[in-house]
Amino acid sequence: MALCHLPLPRWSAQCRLRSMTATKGPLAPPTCADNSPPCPDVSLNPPILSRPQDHTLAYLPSEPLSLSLPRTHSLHSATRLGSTRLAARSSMASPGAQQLKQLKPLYQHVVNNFVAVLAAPVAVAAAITAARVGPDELLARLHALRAAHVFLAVFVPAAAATLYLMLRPRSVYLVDYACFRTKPNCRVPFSTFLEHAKLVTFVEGASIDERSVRFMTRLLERSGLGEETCLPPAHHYIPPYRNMEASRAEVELVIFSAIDDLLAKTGISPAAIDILVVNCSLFAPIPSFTDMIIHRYGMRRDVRNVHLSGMGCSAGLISVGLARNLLQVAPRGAHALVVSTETITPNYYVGKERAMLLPNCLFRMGGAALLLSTSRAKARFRLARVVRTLTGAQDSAYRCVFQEEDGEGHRGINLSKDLMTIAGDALKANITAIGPLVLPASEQLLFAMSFIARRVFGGGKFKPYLPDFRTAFEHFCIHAGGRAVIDELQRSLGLSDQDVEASRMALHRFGNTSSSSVWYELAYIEAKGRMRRGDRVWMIGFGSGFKCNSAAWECIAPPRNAEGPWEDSICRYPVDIPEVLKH
Amino acid sequence: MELVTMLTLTLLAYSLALLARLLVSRARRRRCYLLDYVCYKATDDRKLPTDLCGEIIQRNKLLGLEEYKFLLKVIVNSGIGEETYGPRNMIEGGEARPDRLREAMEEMDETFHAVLDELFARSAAPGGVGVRPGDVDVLVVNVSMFSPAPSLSARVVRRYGLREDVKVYNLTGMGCSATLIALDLVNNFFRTHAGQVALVMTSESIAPNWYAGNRRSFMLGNCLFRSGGCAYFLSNDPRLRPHAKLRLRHVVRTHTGASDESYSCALQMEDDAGRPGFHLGKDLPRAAVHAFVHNLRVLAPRVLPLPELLRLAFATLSARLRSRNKNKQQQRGSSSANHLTIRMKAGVDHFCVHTGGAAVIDGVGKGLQLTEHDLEPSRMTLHRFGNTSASSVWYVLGYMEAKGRLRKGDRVLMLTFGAGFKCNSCVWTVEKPATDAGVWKDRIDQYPLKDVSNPFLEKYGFVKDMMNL
Repeated sequence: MALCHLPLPRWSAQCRLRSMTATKGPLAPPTCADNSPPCPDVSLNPPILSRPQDHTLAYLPSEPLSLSLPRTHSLHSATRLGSTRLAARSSMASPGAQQLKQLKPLYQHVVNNFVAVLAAPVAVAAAITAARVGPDELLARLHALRAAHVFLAVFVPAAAATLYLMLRPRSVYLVDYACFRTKPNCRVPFSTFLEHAKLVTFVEGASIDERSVRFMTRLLERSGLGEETCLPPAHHYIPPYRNMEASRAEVELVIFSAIDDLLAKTGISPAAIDILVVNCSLFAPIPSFTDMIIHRYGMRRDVRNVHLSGMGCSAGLISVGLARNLLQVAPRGAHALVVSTETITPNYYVGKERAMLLPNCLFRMGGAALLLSTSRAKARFRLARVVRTLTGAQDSAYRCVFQEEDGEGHRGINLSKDLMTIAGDALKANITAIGPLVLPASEQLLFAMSFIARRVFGGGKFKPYLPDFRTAFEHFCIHAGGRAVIDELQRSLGLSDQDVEASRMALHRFGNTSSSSVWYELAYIEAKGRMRRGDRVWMIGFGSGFKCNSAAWECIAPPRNAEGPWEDSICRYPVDIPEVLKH
Repeated sequence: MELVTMLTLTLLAYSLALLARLLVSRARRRRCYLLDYVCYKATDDRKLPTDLCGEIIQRNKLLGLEEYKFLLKVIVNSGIGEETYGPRNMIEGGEARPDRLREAMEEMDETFHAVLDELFARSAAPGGVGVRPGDVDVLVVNVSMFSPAPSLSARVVRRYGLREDVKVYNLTGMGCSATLIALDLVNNFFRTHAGQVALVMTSESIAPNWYAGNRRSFMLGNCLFRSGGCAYFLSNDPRLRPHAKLRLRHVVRTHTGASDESYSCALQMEDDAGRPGFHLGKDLPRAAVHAFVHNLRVLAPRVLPLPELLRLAFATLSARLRSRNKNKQQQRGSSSANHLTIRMKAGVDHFCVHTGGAAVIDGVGKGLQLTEHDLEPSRMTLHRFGNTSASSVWYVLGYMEAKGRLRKGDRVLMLTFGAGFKCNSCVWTVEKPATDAGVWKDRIDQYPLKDVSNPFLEKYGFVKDMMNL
């Protein structure tokens, strides 16, 4: 079944904004379920998560969003509309449709457990027949069978099944993960960042000017970043160091602390690691990061190491996919260490091209290390799916995130204005691929019916059905690329505020940490104590190329303790992130 | 009763068929064929004859007589000829500002377009492999010293319009042995996915990495590295088997980065004045030998025939015994333990040695007891194309094909060394002897040369004399 005609929805007109009472909605569990320490902010300032409306900022694209927001509603009245998507939709529909909506859970139960629904009557019928025949008769019939037949009927399928189970591709598990804990001395509050930028304007060779600084101020106010994000030590100097030595220092700080943490957590010795995959987009020295890690931890000589670069913010999931491939052909019980990071040091942009100033404001220090294994013992998550899509064949998609030199020879990353449209297309391609793999039968059936109906009766009469991904996943880790990305995803997938809370808060606390952001979000969910055994997690990453990659995980064991990068700040979250943060 | 018999028989047949299918597909997935490959030959205006090299060296005002002497020694001993290719910015005199993204991109584009266009054109031609860009399932690009965003692999996807679900891997920083790392990656990917076609693009970016300073260990790289690249198709699809040139048998990867000496012998860093460059340390030969020995330890048992292995085991044992006796007699006297040599010729017919320099080829030849005939392809490649980094072994393979050396069933060993420190090797068997000369088409008749020395000594030998004045 293909979800190929899935439009990026414009169907949800007014229902996107959630009210302050969102936490009381049926699909959004109340925050009191959290195990985290009570936080006064929660009750006083429930998250009013809103989207940017300021059109002066072309780089926080708000065009598709403003379409869905009727002009007549002020933000405040809009937020008081329906509390959840379903409720909002039903409030618009007729009473009959409302009844239908109430029947939906029943429908889902029936369709998703179709086999059970079928098997139960058959089993009952069989039991009744057996009871009617009586035990003696049954025994007699059994004795009448030849031993050879019984053997063939029982042992051969059993043997075949065992062999099949042994030969099929092995499952891959996440033993544990650790994120780099940012240090207070690297913190860049807005004021520091702007003051630093102002001073950089006086540096010889830099063409960044007052206007650029004002532009960055406006960006930062609307970016959704908080006051605790961190930049590498080299960026605190004037002018910022961008040389190889400083870059290596940042790499060592980030990845070694993350790996140290991971090794301490899992108690595994570096010599037991068979596969090492590292991804970092914009900095690729020789020897590579993998060599640095092998050197530092004295790993074995036959460790399979791969360093991926230039794969953008979604590379973390590419590495996971690659590690899975390598693990499946490695001996049983092998371990793979995956490290995702981004090195900011060499990429400070000192020109005045606006599109290239944006990364200065968004990208922040961060990194994550994960240990994957094919053995289930001690594992915390099972990797269910990795789906990759790359829309680089179109020129606009290829150019959308682009490293280049501006007219004055300053190197930087150019983020295009149509980033959101392209991200939307890539997302469409990705959920088309992952939808059939993860969605429950009920959603797939509804989608298929809507697809057929649209084909038969013409597209105008029926709205295409957008599958509800919340039936397939309990938690969502959307790459914290920026506020607009999260808004767009929330809108496209019909997610609640609680679903995207982790992404918004990770963006607020750590900034855009590139490929490792999804791991900070997972850590947030776990620190909040929301992860339960059997919960399914969906990670979606976007990156240059243009790529959209997603991974589905299934929780086997919730964390024993909520330590992690959120250790010192979790009690303050979630916070209210206003549309414009004035100082 | 008959019904039961029928049922059980059907069940049996079905499960047996299922099992057979499973085993066959598993066996099929393990195969990895090389379908076709194309090496890059730059245009003639990028050639670096002796005069031009001298000119380029003189452009760098930081260099003095001492440095000239050093460079002369390096170049004379390098084994590089007069027809190697350099990047344009270096020839045109733009090397003083080597950090230009555009120049690097142009260099890569020139290589990628030429190689991939030819590869796809050959594939589409009648009698070709028949792989179109839309058929590629896996794309691996490895360029060590240049990583823009979006990656070079995304650039390939854009130009050739690969599918949306193509699995792309962009490897960097893996040094000169990266091509076998890419090969290993694809080989492992094949094992879990049946009927796949992979495209691997191997090259090295020279333009942005030109060193414009005067530190000796950094200038070595300038002398040795030259432009080159190679793209090849790999597949585990049994339908493509008739087109297969080689079949992969073993890949062995060794990484000795755990020791300080190995790790720091080849490093990208900045010199005291902040000029970026590539440092090749004095420990490099020792690190290479160290990695090579460990690689051989794994590789030899897989490729050598039993008699040779027995001989080896016996030789090792007797050497140990002898040394122990010796130790007893003269308590750590002379440590001149007789050198153990592996007769690799017993298990392998052809040797593609990474053309890292004349010293590398000599060392490998000595270690594996190879004749000059065995080393000829590597030496000639070094002479004609220089050290093209990761793609060098493919030029060597091209030479063997052009000379018609490969016969069906022959075993080919590829041996590469790279920063980190890595030593990777792989063994192929020839499936179909090739007929065309590829990248060597115009020069193959002139090779092998008797004398691979270059005319630097004649032209610039006076530098030495000036030192004595």
